[in-house]
Amino acid sequence: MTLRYALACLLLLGAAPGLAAGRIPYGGELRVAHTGSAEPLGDPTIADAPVEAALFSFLSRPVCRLDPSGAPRLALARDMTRPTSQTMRLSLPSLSLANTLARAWTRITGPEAPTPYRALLFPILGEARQLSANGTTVELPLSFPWPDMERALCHPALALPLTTVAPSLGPFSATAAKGLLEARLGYPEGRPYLDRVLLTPTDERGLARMWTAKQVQLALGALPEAGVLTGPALYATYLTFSPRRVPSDFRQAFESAIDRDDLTRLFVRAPAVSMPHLLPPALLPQAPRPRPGAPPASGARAVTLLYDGANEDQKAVAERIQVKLHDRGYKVALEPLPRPILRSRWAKGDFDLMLQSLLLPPVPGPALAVVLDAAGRKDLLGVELPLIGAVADPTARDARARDRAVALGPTVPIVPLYAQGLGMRAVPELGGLVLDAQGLPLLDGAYFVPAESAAPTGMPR
Amino acid sequence: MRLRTRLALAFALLALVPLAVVVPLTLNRLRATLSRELDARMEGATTSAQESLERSAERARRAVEELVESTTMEDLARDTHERPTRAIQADTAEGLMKSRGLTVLSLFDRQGITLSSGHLPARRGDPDKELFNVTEQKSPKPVPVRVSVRGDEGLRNVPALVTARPVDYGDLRLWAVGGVLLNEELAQHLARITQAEVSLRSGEAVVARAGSAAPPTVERVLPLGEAAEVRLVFSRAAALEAEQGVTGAFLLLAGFGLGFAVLLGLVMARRITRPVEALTEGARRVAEGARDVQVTAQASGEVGELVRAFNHMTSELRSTTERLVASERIAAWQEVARRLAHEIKNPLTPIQMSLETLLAAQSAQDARFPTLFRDSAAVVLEEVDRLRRIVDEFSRFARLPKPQLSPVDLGELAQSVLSLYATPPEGITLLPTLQTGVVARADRDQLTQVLVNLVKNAEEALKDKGGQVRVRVKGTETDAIVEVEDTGPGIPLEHRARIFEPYFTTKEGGTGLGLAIASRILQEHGGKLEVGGEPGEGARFSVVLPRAL
Repeated sequence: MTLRYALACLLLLGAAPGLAAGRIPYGGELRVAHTGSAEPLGDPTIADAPVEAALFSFLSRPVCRLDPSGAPRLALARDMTRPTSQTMRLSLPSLSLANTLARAWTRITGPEAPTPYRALLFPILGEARQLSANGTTVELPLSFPWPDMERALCHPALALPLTTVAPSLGPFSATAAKGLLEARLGYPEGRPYLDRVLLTPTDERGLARMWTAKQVQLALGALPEAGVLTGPALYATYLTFSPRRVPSDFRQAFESAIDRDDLTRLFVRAPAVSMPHLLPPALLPQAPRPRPGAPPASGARAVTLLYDGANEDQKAVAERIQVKLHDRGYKVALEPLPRPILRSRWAKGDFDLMLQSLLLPPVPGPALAVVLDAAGRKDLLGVELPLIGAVADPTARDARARDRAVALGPTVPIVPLYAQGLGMRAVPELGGLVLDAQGLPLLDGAYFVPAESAAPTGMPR
Repeated sequence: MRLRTRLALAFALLALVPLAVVVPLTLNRLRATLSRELDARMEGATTSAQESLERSAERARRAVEELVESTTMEDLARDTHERPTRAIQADTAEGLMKSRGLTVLSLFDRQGITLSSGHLPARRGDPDKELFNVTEQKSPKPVPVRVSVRGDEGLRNVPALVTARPVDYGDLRLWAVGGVLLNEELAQHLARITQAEVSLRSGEAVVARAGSAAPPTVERVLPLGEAAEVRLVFSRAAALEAEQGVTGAFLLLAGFGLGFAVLLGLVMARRITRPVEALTEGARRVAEGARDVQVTAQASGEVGELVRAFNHMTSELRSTTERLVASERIAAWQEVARRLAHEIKNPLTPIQMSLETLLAAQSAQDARFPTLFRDSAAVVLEEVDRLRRIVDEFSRFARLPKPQLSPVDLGELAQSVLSLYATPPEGITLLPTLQTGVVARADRDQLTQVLVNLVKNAEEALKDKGGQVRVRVKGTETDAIVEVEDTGPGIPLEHRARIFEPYFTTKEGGTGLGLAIASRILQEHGGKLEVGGEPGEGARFSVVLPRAL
């Protein structure tokens, strides 16, 4: 017996170096350059552009994440169950987190933070206005069957910003140094492999320069070229119009004047795809309808187009719309606004034309809900969502949502334009970097491959 | 017009005539000078604007040529040749445009599709026919065109001066069409150098405007082909202001000159006319009856002689008048004495004859003495009574009391007087026509005496043949009138002038003082007694008094 044990120990000792060589190594600083805002955006409903949503995801934690297959994986929540078909129960790590989450979701649907993402919470009885935590549990009573609720709740707009006092909130925490994230050693799921992440804001040229100079290991917002990762194009941009303020033939005039493919190809930062229907092609891959002819000319008509002044793509698109509608007899005045004011004007219905960009969930049903709300047709949510939610099979349910999106497209005062995704470039040494179904990078499992075995393992291409 | 006024006007005219001649001439010369100066300034400014435009266009042409020959453009063409969809981006032209000081730049492919536009990035992918047409003109100089740019309220067409140059790389041909917009910035520059209001026009639309020109204005136009024109508006306000200033100064001068001339004229006229006016005043006073008038104004020459002659004349006139008045007074008293003596002498003769008859009868112891005595005594008493009446009348005439005035209704007064004649003598008819409410301020007793006298005279005039006596009371706006008219023989014209004199009478037994007293009473009342009527058809006496309101 003694010899046997001794031999076993010798065998294990002999195997240890091999085990050690195969283990993912800890440590290292990940230098990230990005084209997003230099200042972190504190409101998840505002930080919805791909790069900003990616940056925000480093400092926030949703209750769940959708893995690349689209299945929800718990993140902030410890458990997510359905005691009944119309009740969801979320278990959170602490009482304070449960209360914070309930308050955050209540605020999203409140008048002080108007956002179309409130449609994600529409199925909740009272639309989350009555939400309250019961201990560490938050119960979500649904007003109609809505099997996509779990997937909807994984949307980044419903995530909680990280705080340094809550170790369970994520693998990294912000430090006093600007743009520096430190690994959280006490993270319950295990400390991340990376020691720290350094975020550097720049523009596209700076991004290209830093990448060429090998000053960064991860570039967010890169143009799609060979070797550039692109997430699903779910950041959709629409032109919302007020039927009361624009002529009745506006949609026809617009559709006849604007070529989405040209618009996307020539004026929108890649990666981008034109979007002929209410949902992005990633969710609704259907050929576009033929473009209508121009309506009969009927004098000069003046409208004002509001757009997000911080969004360069929207500026270029707004100017293009101005040029093309000019040929249809429209005098389009452009008015750039800060994003919060733009959302406020949207909530009040105070606009003629407005460009809106929304990060849609990768699920057709919730995505359609957000789009309908953005179109100012919140009244349709109570009609359309129960019909979609009534379909039990997920594939059939998604198909129903797509059908409704196609059917509703010409009737709602919103014109889809294009959808964008996140362009990302990473050095080969960076392993374990994955994109979730939303197209956002996850740094939880990222690590640096040792020099002798540098291989892009675990990195989807 | 008075002499003094005429003299003042003459002086004013004397001052005005030279001004009226000089001012228009001077103003015309000034206007012409200012106009020439403004024309010269406008010509210079227009030339400057033209040269500035040409310089801008030339700079832009050189910038475009430098661009197409630059390595940047060569690299861009090569990249476009190799990667047609990626090399030229929406903002490519904007960067090239700004770095070369251009305000218009479009990069076209061979077909005229905009690959990138600096002035309107949103034009990318579209043809821009008007701008691309410049490539076919092959003009060595910049060409004026209209280009679309973004405005606050949408797109707007702005004129520009552009140059087109090709860029070839292999079989690839790009066109660079660049230049300068004729926009607000250029308008401001032109306004600065021309000091005019500059408007850049494309057709009827004003694309840009800068500077200002106060009206009235003069305009100059610089045509830039069919695409645009530059309109320079110059203000004539400064010239007009100078002209108005000079006119104002002239008018002020004229005003002062006129005032001074009038003043001087008045002073001179006063010096000249003062003795004349004093003589006029003296003559007027003399005409009014003043006798001690002496002109004291200082004068020399002929006027002084005239003053002295006038003073001598008034002195003579006064002494002559005094002598004449004394003579008249004596004559009047003589006349009164004569008449009074005549009146008194008339009764003395019957008295004397009666007394002589009585003395003769008493000497002759005539038996008829008692009868004669009685008859003679009656005659003497009658004549004495007549003498007393004459004396009483004379006394009354001499001591007529001052009237006590009070409002008297003449209609009512006439009615009370006529009531005394309720039973007129046979053959005489009283026909009153009395208007009530005709009031005059009068002494009721004296006025009653006047009316009684007039009615009594009328009755006496009719006592032989009878007739009608008409008494009328009427009022005018200013006068209260009582007329007494009879149908008797009337008053001969030759007597009319004397009937109001004392002791003038044509009646048997009349004292000749009735009408004199009546006339004097009315004079004391501020009124008058008038006589009228045609001789042989009757007499009419009118009592006229001021009417009391």
